[in-house]
Amino acid sequence: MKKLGLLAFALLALAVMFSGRTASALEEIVAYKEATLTIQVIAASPVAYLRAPATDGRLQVAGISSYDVPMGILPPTTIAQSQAQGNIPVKFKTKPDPTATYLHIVPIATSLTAAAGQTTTFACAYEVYAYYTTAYSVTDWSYGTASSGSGYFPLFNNPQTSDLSWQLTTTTPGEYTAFANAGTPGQTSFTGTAGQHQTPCVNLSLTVPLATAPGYYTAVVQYNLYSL
Amino acid sequence: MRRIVLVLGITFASVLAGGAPSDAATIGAAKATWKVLPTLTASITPNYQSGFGPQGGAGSGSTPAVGASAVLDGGYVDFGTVVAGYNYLYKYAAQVQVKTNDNSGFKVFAEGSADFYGTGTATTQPMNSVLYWALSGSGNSPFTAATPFQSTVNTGDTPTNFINTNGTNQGQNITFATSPPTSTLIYSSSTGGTNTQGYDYQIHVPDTVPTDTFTALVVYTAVPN
Repeated sequence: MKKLGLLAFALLALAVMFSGRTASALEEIVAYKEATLTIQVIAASPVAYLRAPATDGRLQVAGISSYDVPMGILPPTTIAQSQAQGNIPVKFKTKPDPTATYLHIVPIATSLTAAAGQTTTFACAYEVYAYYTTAYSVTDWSYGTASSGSGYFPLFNNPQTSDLSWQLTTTTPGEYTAFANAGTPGQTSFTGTAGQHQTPCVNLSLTVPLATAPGYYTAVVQYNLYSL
Repeated sequence: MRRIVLVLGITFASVLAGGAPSDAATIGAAKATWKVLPTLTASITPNYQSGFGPQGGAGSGSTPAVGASAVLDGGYVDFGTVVAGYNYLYKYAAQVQVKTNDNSGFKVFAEGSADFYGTGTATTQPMNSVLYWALSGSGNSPFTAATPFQSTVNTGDTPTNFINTNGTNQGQNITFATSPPTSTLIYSSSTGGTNTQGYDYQIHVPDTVPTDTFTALVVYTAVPN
């Protein structure tokens, strides 16, 4: 009787322990991959502009002969300057990804260019390949995010909503969903049946605040494959 | 630009011979003007600080290690063996030091002389979706925001045979039809003197990359303002 009581207590304790965890946390993670997106923000289009002379902004890197010219002859538009060059050789050796059979990212768009102050969509920016021998689910979360704090453009941190949102081509077209940015486990992207692979395209929508400085930004989305 | 104007007043004494009038004298002035040419030198150093090398590839099952072609202050930026589909950061990849007497400063541009070339498969990988740069910093990671290098649209050396068998960099360059494109600007200074800046590199290894060894050449060009 005493043993039964202890067993019941242990079961109750386990139930309490797991009651607050998400279903995905109870599943077995098979693989995870990051989709790294390079975003180039350009300045908002001007309403009107003055056309600059053709020679403006052109850097001349001729030899090093420089001289004054006599009065009465138009001076050259540029002064010859010296330049210096050097180089860095870069090397890497590749080997296959051992878990690519189950999960990998297929990049389609190498760089996403968007103007400040506008919302831009990118059809099939990349694909997510998934496969497993059992039923599976794929989740996504914005890598490096947390449940509080400001974070950085475009994903930010919860509770600020991500400026980057997604939509799968395999689902009914509708509203884009902002990427989950409160850390793991994120949100379910799609599920699959045992032994059948899927490669859905990911459409992206990016809203760039007007005050965003032109330049390059990075957004990293991690995909996790769970066996169910 | 420093300009020195020198005015010389020279009076010529009458040193005449023969039938020249004895009272003849000429007084004149000569104005000589010249400019001191801007001089600029740049030194590009790979693996410029102890601790250089790759990190990243979490989840790939492999621990990154610097390749054999990398040595302190020389050789390649050698990421070693990397796994398809993963990101890597290479610390202390390159240092650019520019010296100029031009008080208006200088600009530094960098671009690939060609795309990455796989020696075994004779295939290429696009420079602008594989190799990225960021200013060196302790907070950099394989996922830090970084700027892609572009492959030049001008005449660049192919990435093969640019280092001879004893490891000496042969110093190949890019020949610009006009000038380095502004989109490849990586640094700008509005003052002269000596300026030094370090850079970390990132590679985003494509999922679809074949098993091979890939090489490329990043050319840095410094010009006075």
